[in-house]
Amino acid sequence: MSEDIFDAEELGIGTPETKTEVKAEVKVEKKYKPGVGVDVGTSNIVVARQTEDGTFINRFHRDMLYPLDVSEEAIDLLDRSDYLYVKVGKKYYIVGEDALRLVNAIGRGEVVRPMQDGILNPNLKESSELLFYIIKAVVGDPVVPNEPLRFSVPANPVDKDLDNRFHEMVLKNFFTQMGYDAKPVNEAMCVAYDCAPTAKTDEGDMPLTGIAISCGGGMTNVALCLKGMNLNAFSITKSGDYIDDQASKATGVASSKIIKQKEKNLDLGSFDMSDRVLAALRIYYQETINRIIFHMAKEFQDKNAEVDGEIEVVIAGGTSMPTGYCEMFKQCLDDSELPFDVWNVRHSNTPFYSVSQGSCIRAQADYRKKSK
Amino acid sequence: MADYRKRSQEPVVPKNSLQVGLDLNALADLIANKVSEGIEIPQQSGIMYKGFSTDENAKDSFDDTFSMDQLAKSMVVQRGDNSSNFEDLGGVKETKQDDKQTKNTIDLLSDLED
Repeated sequence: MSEDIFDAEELGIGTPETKTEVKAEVKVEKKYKPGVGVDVGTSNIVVARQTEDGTFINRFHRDMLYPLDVSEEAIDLLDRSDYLYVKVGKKYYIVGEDALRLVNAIGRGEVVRPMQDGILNPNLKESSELLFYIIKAVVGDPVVPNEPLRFSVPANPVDKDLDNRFHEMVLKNFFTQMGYDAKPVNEAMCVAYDCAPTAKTDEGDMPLTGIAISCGGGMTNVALCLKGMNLNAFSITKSGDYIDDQASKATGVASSKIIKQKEKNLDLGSFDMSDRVLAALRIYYQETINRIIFHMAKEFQDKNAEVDGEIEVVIAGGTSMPTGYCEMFKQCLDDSELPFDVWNVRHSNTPFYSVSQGSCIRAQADYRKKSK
Repeated sequence: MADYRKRSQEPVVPKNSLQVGLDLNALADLIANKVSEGIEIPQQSGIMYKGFSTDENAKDSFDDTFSMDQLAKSMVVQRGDNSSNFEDLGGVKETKQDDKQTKNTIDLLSDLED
């Protein structure tokens, strides 16, 4: 292998002689309730199951790949490392966090994703093959025959001509092939099932009523729900990836480095102009939040959506995780007009896992319905 | 008494179909000439009716669910010599939600239609 291409020390790998032996993972069998939820997001895949004692077990995987052409150097690198990969055609794809580590260490190339804008990436020819290898490994086998599975799907976007029916069918076919009774569920509604917003009315609290927002990498999904029913849902394609891309364009810093900064140092509560990446990220976060609120007001007004009383807004998703996100959202909401009165804005206790947990809750309800 | 036989022999003109007054012979000649000249006739999606309204024709109301479903099934097939060096993937995070809230939500959703 030519050392000027892959530097072993920089990549954090040993020579074949010093390669650390990987310890076998000790698997503890847990008793799961039937019903599994899968959040197939643009940035991450998260699978949730609930144990008999009520604990959610979330398995997550970073939905990123670093392509390497099949060559002696690549084979040597893979032999000397513990990188996990899929080989499709004439390429190796390093999967997960390692893809990001590798691209940062090598300093060239970009990570690719099997998903884009919330659906299968049309620009990546092998996207379905790659995604299915990954999903199969993250989801695992059904715990009962024909176990109900709910997978999250975005609503059609208001700002792009996209139809997600095909994406939905591909995923459904794949889960069915794995032995599941699979059905799609709206992504934002999953947040509602997990966070359970309430509306305050003259007759008392109304459960599962309000606005649920899932801020993902490729899309932001919004749903207005009434007693668990989806009254109106839509999505916006400018979300986390858009923020990264715009900040990258504005500063000239690679997207992979922007993501690192965002996840480690971004605090939306403080406007730090001394760091141009953090400043750009904050500006685009604010723009994205204002865009969500603008479309909320427009969509719900256009559809004449009405709910009596004051509603609650619940927010989740990886893009909502930087410190101060919810406060910034509240501030922007105060400065705008919605066709509803909002009594509270609440951030999910587990923002990263809300969609998968909500899907899992819905799948458990399906199982109960089937068992009746 | 009305002459029903005579009326039944009149040509049937479907509603919302070709407009009265349109010279069909001239149109047929035009198409024939275009074809014979090898000039491409712009294709419109959908069936041409309702007075050749461009907007109406642009909307294809054909249900393509079947072909989309077949295509989706074909996407599930792994082609070529693909492989991976893992069987399971991902980190694990355990979380605990309000049991009562989760139970109430499942109760409510169990009674809802899909």
